[in-house]
Amino acid sequence: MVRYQIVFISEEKKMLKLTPPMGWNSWNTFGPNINEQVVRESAKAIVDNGLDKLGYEYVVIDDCWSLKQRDENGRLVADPEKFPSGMKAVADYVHSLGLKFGMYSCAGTVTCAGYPASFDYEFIDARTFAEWGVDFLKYDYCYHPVAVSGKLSYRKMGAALANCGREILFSACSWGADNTHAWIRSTGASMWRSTGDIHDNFNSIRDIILQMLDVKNNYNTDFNGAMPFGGIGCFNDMDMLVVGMNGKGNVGLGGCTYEEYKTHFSAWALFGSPLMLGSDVRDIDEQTKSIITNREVIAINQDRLCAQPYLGYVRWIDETPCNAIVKPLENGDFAVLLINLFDHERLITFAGEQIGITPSTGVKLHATDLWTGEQFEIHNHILLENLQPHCCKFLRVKLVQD
Amino acid sequence: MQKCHDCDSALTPDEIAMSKKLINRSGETLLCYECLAKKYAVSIQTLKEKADFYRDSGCTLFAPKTE
Repeated sequence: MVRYQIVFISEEKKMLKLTPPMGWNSWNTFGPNINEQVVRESAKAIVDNGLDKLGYEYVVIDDCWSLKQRDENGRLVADPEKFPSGMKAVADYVHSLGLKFGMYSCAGTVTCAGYPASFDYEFIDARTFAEWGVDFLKYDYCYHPVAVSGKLSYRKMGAALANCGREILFSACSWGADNTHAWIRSTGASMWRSTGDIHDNFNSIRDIILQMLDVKNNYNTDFNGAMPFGGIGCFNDMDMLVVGMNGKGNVGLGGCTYEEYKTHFSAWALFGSPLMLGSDVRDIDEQTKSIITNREVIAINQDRLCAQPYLGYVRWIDETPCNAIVKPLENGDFAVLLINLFDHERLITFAGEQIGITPSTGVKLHATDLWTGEQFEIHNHILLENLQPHCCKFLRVKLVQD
Repeated sequence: MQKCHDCDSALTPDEIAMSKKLINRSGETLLCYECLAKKYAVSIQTLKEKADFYRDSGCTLFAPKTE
């Protein structure tokens, strides 16, 4: 019988994420076709492209990395055909580049792709991950026993990770199911998936954005919007990015235009979602690079206030917002995202009163377009933008005393 | 017999699987291929090819094809 001594880690060693995690995950492009070479090359590409300097630090292997059977001691085994050097060697390589290493398991009896999962093996698997040098665990929700509540399963893995002897970021991936928003902070998770899986298609992106807003939708009716349920210590995860996939790869589904990818990245940044790249980073085209390396947009995502974004005054047409989404920033500025989620040209509005600024305050609003760099004053505190379908205008607005 | 949320047509196992894959595994909204194609602005053929891709990749939402 294997015995485990539970060691309680002091408060000083507990990991608290102060800003949304950033990195890369293998699933969106590679799906089950993941191997050691891809991971090593992707990690190297992150460094070679300077993405690590911008904050992309986690290199995460998703599902399909293990053998279909545990070993005689009940431990997970990396598939030696896919990972001939073993997982610790891969972790060591990623660490040698100054990056952090992530892996995947699931709260069920098997993973979404049918590999061994961690239900009833939480402490064994957490210890295994710790021994390999894992820094991040994505924890999926497929095939969880219906007799065991999701919150119990996630709390159990949370406890296992907290006591495994290594700081491992707990990335919960229960798709917002079973009222995740109500209990996820009790599990020790640092980020939680609040929606279904993303696909490389603007309609998939739009669905996820609408699920963030305070709108009752048909796909996750447990609550009205996930936007209020994020923040320091447990970030609302809108799923991995599809920027630059161009219709290819595991979750490819038609692809998006350059403008649609910009809207996608802008929304993820504004909502404070973790920014986990999903494209093949070994082959990044210039348009994709221009999006994912936009420092000003990343700064909005990494703003340390981690304030809850909100809609300006509510104005809806067919359950789609026609006004800007706003987020207060640490230094007193505001991030303002005018976003057209319609399939036709639309007038989107922003008014100073949406952030409590009226002409009588004597405050002027100076805006910087985070994509073009254009700087301008918002005259009379009203901005009306005719946006093309699926496009956005992303501003940083500074309040200037008159 | 489960039916399409939008057009009320009877759903095949692959349509149910594709709805869960594209929309939400835990969601209750299920769509037929025609409605999924309309929603995601792709062809039905693309969706069927994607279903085969996911099946061949080992996605357990999709039942193995029978001859």
